Amino acid sequence: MKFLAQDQLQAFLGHLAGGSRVVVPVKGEDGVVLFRPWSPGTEVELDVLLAKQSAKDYVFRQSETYLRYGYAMAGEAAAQVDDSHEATVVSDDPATRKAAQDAAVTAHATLVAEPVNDAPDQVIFGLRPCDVRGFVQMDNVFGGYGGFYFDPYYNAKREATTLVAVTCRDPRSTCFCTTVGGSPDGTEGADALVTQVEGGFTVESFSEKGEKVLGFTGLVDASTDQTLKAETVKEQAVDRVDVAFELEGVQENLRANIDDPGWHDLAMRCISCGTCTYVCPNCYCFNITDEMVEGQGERLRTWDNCFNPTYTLETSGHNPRDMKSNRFRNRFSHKFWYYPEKYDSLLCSGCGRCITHCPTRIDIREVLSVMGAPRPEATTATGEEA
Amino acid sequence: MSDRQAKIRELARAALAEDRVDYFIGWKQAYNPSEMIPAFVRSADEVDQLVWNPLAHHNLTAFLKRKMPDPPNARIGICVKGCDSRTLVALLQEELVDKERIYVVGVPCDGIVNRRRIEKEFADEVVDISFAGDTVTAVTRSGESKEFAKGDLLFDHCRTCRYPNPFYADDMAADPIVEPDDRTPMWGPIEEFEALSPAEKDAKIAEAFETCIRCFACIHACPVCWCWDQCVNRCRQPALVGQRVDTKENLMFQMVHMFHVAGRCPSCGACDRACPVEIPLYLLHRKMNKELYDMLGFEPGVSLEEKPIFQTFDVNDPFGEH
Repeated sequence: MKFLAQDQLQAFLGHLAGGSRVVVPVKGEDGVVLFRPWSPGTEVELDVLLAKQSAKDYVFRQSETYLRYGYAMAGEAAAQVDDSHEATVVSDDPATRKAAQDAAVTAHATLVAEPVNDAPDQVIFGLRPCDVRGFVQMDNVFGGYGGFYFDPYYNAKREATTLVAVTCRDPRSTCFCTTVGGSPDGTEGADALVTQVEGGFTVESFSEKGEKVLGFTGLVDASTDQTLKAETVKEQAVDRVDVAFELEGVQENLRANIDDPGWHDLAMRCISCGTCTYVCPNCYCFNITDEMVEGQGERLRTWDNCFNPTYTLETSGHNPRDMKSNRFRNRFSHKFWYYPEKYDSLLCSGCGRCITHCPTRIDIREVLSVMGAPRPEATTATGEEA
Repeated sequence: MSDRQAKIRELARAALAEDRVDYFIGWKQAYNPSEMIPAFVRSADEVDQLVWNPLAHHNLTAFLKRKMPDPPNARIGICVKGCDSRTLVALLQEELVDKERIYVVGVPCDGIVNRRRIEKEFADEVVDISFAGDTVTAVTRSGESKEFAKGDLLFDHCRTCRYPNPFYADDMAADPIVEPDDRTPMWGPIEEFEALSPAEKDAKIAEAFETCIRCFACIHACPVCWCWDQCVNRCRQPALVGQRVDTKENLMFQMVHMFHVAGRCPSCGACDRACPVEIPLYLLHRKMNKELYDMLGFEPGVSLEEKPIFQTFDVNDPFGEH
């Protein structure tokens, strides 16, 4: 185990920034903490436990260009279009003239498409173990697990990214990582872990990428005392995380409770916005849009969310999740029922951001305590026996 | 304070016991006493969860707009503060809510405390906020506590509030509190903003909208933004607002919201409080309120007899003079 003195932190980040972008949690003037690119002198905010958003955006971009495309015309071809346009326009009808012009353009233009996949090397420093597990869980989806699709865009960024997590010294009451298999000092997916102790940080590495992090010459071997203190910080942190609900049986119970009227009651105060999914380190749904202006366009991937009322809107006009209670049920069922069924892992790492950032504080712990447990013999919302 | 809470419970209990409503919407404490959330009470024996205190910031009338009630034709009891009642009036002016289906309990309001101001005072999590007179005491998870003067914690729109009593209510939770004689609005931060140079304004706006994550919490929490589920901002054909999340498109999205709710939005601040990244959206809507007031002498949601200003036409309107 290595030790990094507090006054060496900036030099350490400077070392990481040699050849890589470094991303750290930064407190803005308005007191809001977000992950931001580091530059020399940028202060790293580690006292506030969780940045408003996870660092997800730096690997799975909120909006990302896949492809640039457009119609390219060689000089000669362009001239011909002009000529043919002049020659063929004999109609007074604007629509006919436009159609003739379009036909001429199509005949001479070449469609050019250029894929885009920028993945610069980067180090994300100061994210929490739950945020790191978010990437591990998204890897299942984008990484081609079990023969599904391999996503070159996500994976290029993922491979170019080093994750240096920080142990949670003071977990919040809304943290429940230990309930879902994590820990405030969890190392799953992390390339390195730093732990705040008196005077600085202990540093441990768990991968080849992590070893590079340890290449900083300002690191010294941690003393026995520092190692012991780091262990104490970790143990105390684990003690501070409450068990939020009984995980055993949740998957089966969610399946059994799919028609339970309890979903309506729990969803009443939901406003069906996308905050929980966008602050979540694990949610990965996205949308694809072609945006084109004057013959030049881009294919965009943007985050989508299952609370979006048009998320499941079909072209027929039918929407199988037209009511917000349907959409509400989906989010929790996806995380604790269908995703586990497919990937043998949960889709939640217990950071609790969805609780603290929800405009009406919908509490995932409450939802799973109620709907993830056996329900009493229920009647449906219309009063009939279920 | 507690008198109002007791009265809210009493009125809710009666409405539910007499089957005048299917459910009653008020406020309650969330997972800890420092957080208030909307409460949906379905039976008379559950009314004791209802709480009234200066953290009851939610504008509950958002739960009346189309596609929110469950079931859609539910008879709903609801609590409104002064500002909330103005959005309710706006919905009634447009005949978007059936008066016969709602039972409204008016709550005179002394101002709501901005929890985020307290949160910023600590690195640790705030788990308890309590009130004694004008003193607010906040306690963190590790036991650290601080006292604040309530006046320092109020939302800006509460400090400058001219309408603390509801405009529309079937029953009141307390006698109306004394209202200021002078109803001229105070614009505060808007006038500061207007005094900036164009370049400074651009910089402020860019800074504010850069962090928007387009989660749409603002429009979903907004009571008068009632085409929320069919919003032009998420429509991809025609692509009036780009899907790309960047400062320009984010601002465009918020501009669309601002113009669509103009004349109906009293700047209650529900959008601002819902925003997970704390963009000061309230100021955007307040600015529109000021334009309407300066140009047309119009204030949204203060009279059931009026129509929202952009649903009327008067040849004498002073357009062109500004």
